[in-house]
Amino acid sequence: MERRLGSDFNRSAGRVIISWDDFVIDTEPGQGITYAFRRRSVTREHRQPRAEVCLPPNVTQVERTISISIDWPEEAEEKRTGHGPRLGLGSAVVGPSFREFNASWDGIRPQHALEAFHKPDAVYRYQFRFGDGEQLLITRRVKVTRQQFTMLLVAHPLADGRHEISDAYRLYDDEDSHGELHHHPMAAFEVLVSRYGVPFSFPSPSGLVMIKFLRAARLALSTASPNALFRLLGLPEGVDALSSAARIHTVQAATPTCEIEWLWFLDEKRYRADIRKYLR
Amino acid sequence: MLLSNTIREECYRQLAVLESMFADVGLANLAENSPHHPAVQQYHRLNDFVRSGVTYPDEVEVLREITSALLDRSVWAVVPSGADYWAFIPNVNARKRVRENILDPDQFNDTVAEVFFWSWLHEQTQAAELLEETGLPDIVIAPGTHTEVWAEVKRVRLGKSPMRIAEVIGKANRQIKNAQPRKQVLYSSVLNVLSSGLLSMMKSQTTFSRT
Repeated sequence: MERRLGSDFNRSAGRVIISWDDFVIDTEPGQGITYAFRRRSVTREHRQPRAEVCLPPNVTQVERTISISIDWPEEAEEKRTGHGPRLGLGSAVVGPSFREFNASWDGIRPQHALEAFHKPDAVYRYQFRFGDGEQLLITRRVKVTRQQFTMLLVAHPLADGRHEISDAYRLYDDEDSHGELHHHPMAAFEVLVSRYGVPFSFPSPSGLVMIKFLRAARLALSTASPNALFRLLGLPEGVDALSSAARIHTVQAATPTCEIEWLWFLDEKRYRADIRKYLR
Repeated sequence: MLLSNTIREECYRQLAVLESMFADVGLANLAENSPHHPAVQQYHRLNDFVRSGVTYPDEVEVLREITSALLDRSVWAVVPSGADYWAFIPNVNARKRVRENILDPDQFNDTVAEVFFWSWLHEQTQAAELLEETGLPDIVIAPGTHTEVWAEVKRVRLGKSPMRIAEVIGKANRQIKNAQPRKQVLYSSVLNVLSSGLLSMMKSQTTFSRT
């Protein structure tokens, strides 16, 4: 547009106002939700117009906002599920952690995750080693936007027979993935971890090694607390996004032992910064 | 049911506005002649919305539609009545053109955009006139004075390439140039530039259910 308003082009158009509607959503799980719909504009003046536009800039500056607030039906949902607010479709639900993580504009909508659960491209089942239960990794290719991506879901069975989708991530294609990740959920997860996992130290028989993902492992702790585990893993300060720790339970014994089914830590800032590049 | 009374009332108001715009109760005639007309689709969506409440997961799109229409009307603010809805446009020929153009599915939103900007200028206490002359810009501001300015309103549809804006500016420039000898016609604008990228960027994830 700048070029179009250069010295030799379109000199009769002394001012161009581009106006558009957009919206922002402000919400916290369990709280109300506010939608702010805005009509906004940017103005560009021609550098050498045939004649000056005799209108103050503010006259043609379109700025207007309408806000709508809606409450969450938290009580009703909690009564129904007993496990906090959930949304369901068929045999799958999305839970509070999903909703919290995906509440911002770059998140994955619950309905899309639920649909992906019911119509996946591929499913990977991980049977827990230290107890009953399993974890599902589910992938589905999303082609509706200009930048295609693989949606990766993490789900667990509930006592009532349904599955709860706890996590959902976007994995945009890179040179290595060639858009094939949706056929291979475990490979998709490994890509997720390699891109956005936080390294931590693992006391292997040959000494401490830095890794980003751990499954089916027992670790001796100094005390039977999650903090002891975090200290042992040497997690850097500020890591606050524990993700997909499918099961960490401490076996009470003379020496507290932590049985880890599935453990990794998401660098949420890096993840969001990366996917937002594709969403702009 | 989480559809608040305020939103519900606004929905009813917009249904009434749509009917008044077309002087067509229930948009029955329009729906029969042009079932895919954006106003017909909007009317049906609003009706569904009022009847079924906020249905997950499409609340954002519906709310966006409601507020977009509300933003349009925020500057002309006509309460529907039995009289001609478009009577607030003083230029009889322009009013006639608006009434005719909105019947065309391809021109409905473009026409509403024109009326919005014309009304916006009025709200900013500008002596703007909505025109109807073929080939000329849509609006003239301060006509007949030495500060006369012409305005052309173009609407770029969702999903079009940003390069489309450059084409639109060129086209508007030609129209403005053709408005000579009423010179210095230097205002062009584009409404609803929502590239697909921008739209997806703005789409937030909302996660709530309703009964």
